[in-house]
Amino acid sequence: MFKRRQRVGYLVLAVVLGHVILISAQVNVRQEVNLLQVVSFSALAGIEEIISFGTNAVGKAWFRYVSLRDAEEENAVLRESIDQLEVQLQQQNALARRARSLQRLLELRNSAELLTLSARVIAVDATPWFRTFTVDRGTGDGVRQDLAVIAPNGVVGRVVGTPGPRAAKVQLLIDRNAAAGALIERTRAAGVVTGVDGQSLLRMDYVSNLEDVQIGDAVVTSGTDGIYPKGFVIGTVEGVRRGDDLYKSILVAPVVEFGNLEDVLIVLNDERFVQAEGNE
Amino acid sequence: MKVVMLVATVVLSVTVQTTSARIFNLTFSNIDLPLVVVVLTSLSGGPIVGLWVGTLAGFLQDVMSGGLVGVSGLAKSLVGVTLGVLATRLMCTGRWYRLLLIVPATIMNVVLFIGVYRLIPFAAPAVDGVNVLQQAVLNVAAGFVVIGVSEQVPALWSRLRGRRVVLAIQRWRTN
Repeated sequence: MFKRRQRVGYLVLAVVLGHVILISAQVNVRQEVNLLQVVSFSALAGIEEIISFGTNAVGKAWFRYVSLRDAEEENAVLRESIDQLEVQLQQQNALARRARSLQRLLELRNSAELLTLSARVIAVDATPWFRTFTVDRGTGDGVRQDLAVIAPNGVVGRVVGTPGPRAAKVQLLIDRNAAAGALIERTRAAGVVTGVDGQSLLRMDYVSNLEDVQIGDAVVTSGTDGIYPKGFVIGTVEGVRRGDDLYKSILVAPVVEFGNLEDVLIVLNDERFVQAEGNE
Repeated sequence: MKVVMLVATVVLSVTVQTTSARIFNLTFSNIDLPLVVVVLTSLSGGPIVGLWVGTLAGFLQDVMSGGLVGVSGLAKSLVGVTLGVLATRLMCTGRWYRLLLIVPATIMNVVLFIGVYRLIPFAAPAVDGVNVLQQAVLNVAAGFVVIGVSEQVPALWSRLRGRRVVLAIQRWRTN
């Protein structure tokens, strides 16, 4: 009995020690446990992909064939919305033409068009404490660490960890450990946007108390972090107050609805972008 | 066979944890399904089973999350051992006892998880008491379902096997 208890004690000690060494290795060297992690991540991501495919197929079958009752009504609403969007598109085209001509006038070089890769979100973080997604693109598609991930309406996050051959982990901008260089679009006041714990909001730090920031101001990426392309929308200012120290306290509501994300775009040509930004 | 079943259960719990939130369009899931599996297997299998199941569940969770690998493993293995030791000293076989023990296990897991992060230079997630309590309640609900399924599966399986044997005999007779 005593021996058995002793054996359990030694085993627990060994496992705890193993974990401590594993954690210390990552903290000190700032490197990941590559092989074991990549193999386990890839294997589990494969299972997740199959489950995600299955649930998507069931969902699609439901929406395509079963719930067609409201389709006509929805069709009318959508047509109306298309009409409105076409008007908006024309306005946007006019603005874009004007911007292009201004750009030529100012002799600004057109930034290289971003090369993106579409990816499907297949799973969310396995713990409730971090905000990451798993997408179905990996090293086989040219994905690697620190590539920016965007959605049509704004910035989503970046690729973290070593991606597997067919899957990669994306850290959302609302994660506590995430950050992006940002600008207030109206005044060009620069700062850093970070995630706020347990909330779907972002915080913008290091914006001087002297800067003019108002509720509703658009916040865009500054491109200075070397990860996110310049000028992509992050969100809008939801709250702003004068800070106790040198900087304002700013809350930003992200434009991307992270809960509804199904497909995202991974920016593949970030080096060209960074180089282009550096030359400007 | 038992080891394979345990590994499969842990892998299933982690994949259900990560994929179920997508179905409901959530950014994250506040249920810790792998922890529920660790609690239930530790109570029925003892400290060594609890230790290994906790280690595996935690490791897989860490691999599939944005944190450091080993933190969940450490927390869950200690939870597994503690509950395994408890199970050898107390009679915890009743369904309600097992469900009730999920609450302190959830709290212990969160305290250990956050505690480790506080010791290292990595931004530790902030603990919200309400959030932890909500997680404990959701874990108990998940535990209720897991216990129900684990009790029904063997009976269903034997019934299916019995039916298969009867069908085979009938087919043999008609031939």
